[in-house]
Amino acid sequence: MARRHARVGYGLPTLLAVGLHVLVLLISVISLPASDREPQPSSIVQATLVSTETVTDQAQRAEAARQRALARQAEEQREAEEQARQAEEQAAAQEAQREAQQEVKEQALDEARQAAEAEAARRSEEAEAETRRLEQQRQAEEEARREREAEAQRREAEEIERQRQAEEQRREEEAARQREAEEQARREEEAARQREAEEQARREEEAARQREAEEQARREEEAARQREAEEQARREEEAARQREAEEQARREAEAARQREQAEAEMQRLIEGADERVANAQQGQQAANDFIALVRQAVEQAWRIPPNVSSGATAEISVRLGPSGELFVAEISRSSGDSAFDRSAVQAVEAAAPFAELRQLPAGVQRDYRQFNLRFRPGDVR
Amino acid sequence: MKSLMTAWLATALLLVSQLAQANLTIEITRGNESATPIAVVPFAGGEGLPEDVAQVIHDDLERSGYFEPLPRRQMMDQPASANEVRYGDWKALDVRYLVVGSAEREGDGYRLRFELMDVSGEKRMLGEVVTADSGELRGAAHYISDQVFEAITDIRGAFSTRIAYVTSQGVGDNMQFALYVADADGHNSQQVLSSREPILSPAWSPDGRKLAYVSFETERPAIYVQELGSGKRARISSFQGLNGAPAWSPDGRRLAMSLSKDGQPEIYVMDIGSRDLQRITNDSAIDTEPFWAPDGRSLLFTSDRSGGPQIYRHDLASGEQKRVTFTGNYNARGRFSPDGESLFLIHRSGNGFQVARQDLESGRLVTLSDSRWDESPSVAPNGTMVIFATQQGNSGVLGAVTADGRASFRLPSAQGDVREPAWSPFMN
Amino acid sequence: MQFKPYARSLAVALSLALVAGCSSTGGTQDGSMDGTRDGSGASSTGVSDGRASGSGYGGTAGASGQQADGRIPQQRTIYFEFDSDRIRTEFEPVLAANARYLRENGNARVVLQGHTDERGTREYNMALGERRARSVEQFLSVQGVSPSQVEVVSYGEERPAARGQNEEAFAQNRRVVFAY
Repeated sequence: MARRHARVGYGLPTLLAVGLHVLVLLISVISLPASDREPQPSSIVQATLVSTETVTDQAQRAEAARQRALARQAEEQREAEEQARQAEEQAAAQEAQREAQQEVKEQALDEARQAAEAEAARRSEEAEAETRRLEQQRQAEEEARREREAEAQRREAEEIERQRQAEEQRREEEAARQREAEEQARREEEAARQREAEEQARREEEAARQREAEEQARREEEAARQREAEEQARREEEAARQREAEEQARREAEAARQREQAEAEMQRLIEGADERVANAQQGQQAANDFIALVRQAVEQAWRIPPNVSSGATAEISVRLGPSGELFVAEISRSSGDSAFDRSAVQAVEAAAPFAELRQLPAGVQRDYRQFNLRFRPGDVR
Repeated sequence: MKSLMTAWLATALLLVSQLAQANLTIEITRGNESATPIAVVPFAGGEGLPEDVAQVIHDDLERSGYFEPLPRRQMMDQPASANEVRYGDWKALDVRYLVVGSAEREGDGYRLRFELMDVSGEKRMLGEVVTADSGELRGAAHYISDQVFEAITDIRGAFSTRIAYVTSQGVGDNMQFALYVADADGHNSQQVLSSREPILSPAWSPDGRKLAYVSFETERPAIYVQELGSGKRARISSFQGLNGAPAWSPDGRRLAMSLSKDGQPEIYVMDIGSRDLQRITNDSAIDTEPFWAPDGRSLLFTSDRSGGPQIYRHDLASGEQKRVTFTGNYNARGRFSPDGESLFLIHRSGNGFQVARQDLESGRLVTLSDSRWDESPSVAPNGTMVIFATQQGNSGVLGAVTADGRASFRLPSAQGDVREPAWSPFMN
Repeated sequence: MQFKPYARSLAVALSLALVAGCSSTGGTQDGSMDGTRDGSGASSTGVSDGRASGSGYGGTAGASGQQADGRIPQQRTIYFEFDSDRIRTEFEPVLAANARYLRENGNARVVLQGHTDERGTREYNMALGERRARSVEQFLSVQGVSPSQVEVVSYGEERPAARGQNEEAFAQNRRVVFAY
């Protein structure tokens, strides 16, 4: 919008404004009473209507009117008659309809009754057939029962026979066993007697051998004394030779020791490295144990609230102190279910402190003071 | 220069190794599907009061299926405030949460103070002062239960709600029926209607102030709406034939119902103010048991148009009707959960009639109750529990089960046969 | 007499007859129920051949005897099979007797009370009870009873005749009662 920079005096505009307002007031005042009055139909033109028709015209028109009236009357009469006729016809038709309907109804009822009777007959037949079938079934069942009873009796008799036979067999077997036992006793007695005789023979042989052995011992003693004397002489010779050999050995040993020392130093360097590897392996094992322990403790302490939706997952980030005490356990990813989230945090809080942290190798402990736990129950209803 | 490079490399490697360690994630895939242990310590100063406030809270929390309150005899000491609590004692009992408080008379009423502690985290979670008028002590206890429940689960507590139910005595032509309203825990029952003719299908209006129900007091079934505060009644529907299964729209202005005035039972929606009827179903089958979706845009109903009762859903805007249940050959009386994502219904299996829940998206049906004669499921307004009618011995009693079927309870009653429970909305 | 107007009315009458014929047989029952049953049992001598019925209640033995005109029939309850609103053969004489009474006493009114056993949901059982009572109502109307004498009320499972969760109790509750 363009701004007008020209200065405008305030006198004229106020006057015009006031004048406008006064005008508006006047108009409204004037029009108010006017709107209360009912709007009156005002005629634009004032005049009286004069007919341009002549008398004869009128008479003619009257005749025509009369004729028309007569015609109309005649028509009306005709229409009335027609209507009467139609009404009669309709009445007749309705009567005919009613009669026809009644006939049809009666027919239908008859048919229905017939059908019913036929149905009834059919049903009684079916019922009879059913009873026959039932009878037959009963008879068949009876027969079956009789058969079963006969069978049962037969089986009983068989059983009794079998039992008798079994008894007999047992008696026979017993007798046989007794006879065998007696025989065995006899055989054992004989064997015992034989053994005794053999023993006596052995004892006599042994006595003879002993005497021979004593004689031999005396001869050997003499021989031994002779050999000793020879031996002494040889020992003294040997001692002299040994002293010489020892001196030589000492000189060689010194040289060997020096070599060994050099080798041992090398080995120590190598072993140091191996140890570090072994330590590392032990550390990993301990860490796995620690993780398993944390999992087990948290699972035991976790109380899953009801109405958890399937697939709910919450992640808790955990920070432990140097002795495994809980510093921080907070929700790093919510499951959307506040009760579920809180139950997870509680599980960690209740499972803490994890004192087993201290059992990890010193260099590894720091690595396991911070970890995440993902809570996702298997198949919650 | 070289030493700088190596130093830089070394730190880089160190950082990388640290990062690798920080990503260590341990999978927890199992736990205990059991309620969370909590201890509600008897309120200090509460011995002289007409109601044991701590016991009311204890029972509320236990009945929700979420908590396992510690029996009093196992409490080693009874602190009354947060600074008297020794967390170690409670941890030793594996208690996770602790409620302590005190109660005293104040004028004609009472002044209660309570605090909720997280035992494993060793911190105070919540504390509040609650005042109650004379006679409202139980209500104050239910309020505390609501606060505790919501602080821990983030779900609004339903302990201050009410239930309606029907009782009956006798057989054949000599029967007595009554309609009752009580607190959600069964206490404070009040008779709303008594009759020698059957009473059926009580339904709460969304503002919790009115009940719609079917009564045979004119020797024909008719639908009535009764204002609970004043006892004023209006007969809303008494057409020829059946008038049954009233169901309130979420805005409280319309009632869906089943009427057989046009030949067989069909679903209609009546505007309560104008009594205008809108016909929803038009077929030769039985259509009954309507229920509104929480967004008011569709209706569930039971129909046997496929040969046996199944649950269908009618979209009010498009008029489209789709079958919802396909498991088994008898599914009836569908009720939406408050979040609109599942249905609770009666399902017949080889083991009889049970309460079941069907997830609307997956269509999977899960049985929640385990007797043979369960009926009339009604969902708590916070969706966590379902109350229903069942048999115990020869009499009808009410049962309750968590929405996932995990924990269930029986609510015995001495008033003859109890049936047709209806859980009120939140009472604001 | 002119033939033309009568031809028209005859044509109309014939078509109406066809329509009437269609509606008096069959019935408005669901396809799963046998609609042909409605047309049967119309004769007053009864379809019963004197066979005792399988159920123990409301037996029809000797029901073929004529009832005196002014007395309300003694047998006023008929029973149904599970999940069914079909009129069982053994109860047709009971229905016939009641129908006769109503036909012969035009001022008599009856309320057919439909009942079910307690299995299933209550409101659905209300509808099933009504179906049973309506099935009886239809039978009566085919027997010539005026509709103005008959009213249908369903009590569903609300007024059991017998209590218990066993087949005997259930069978006693699945019934329609003629309440005069």
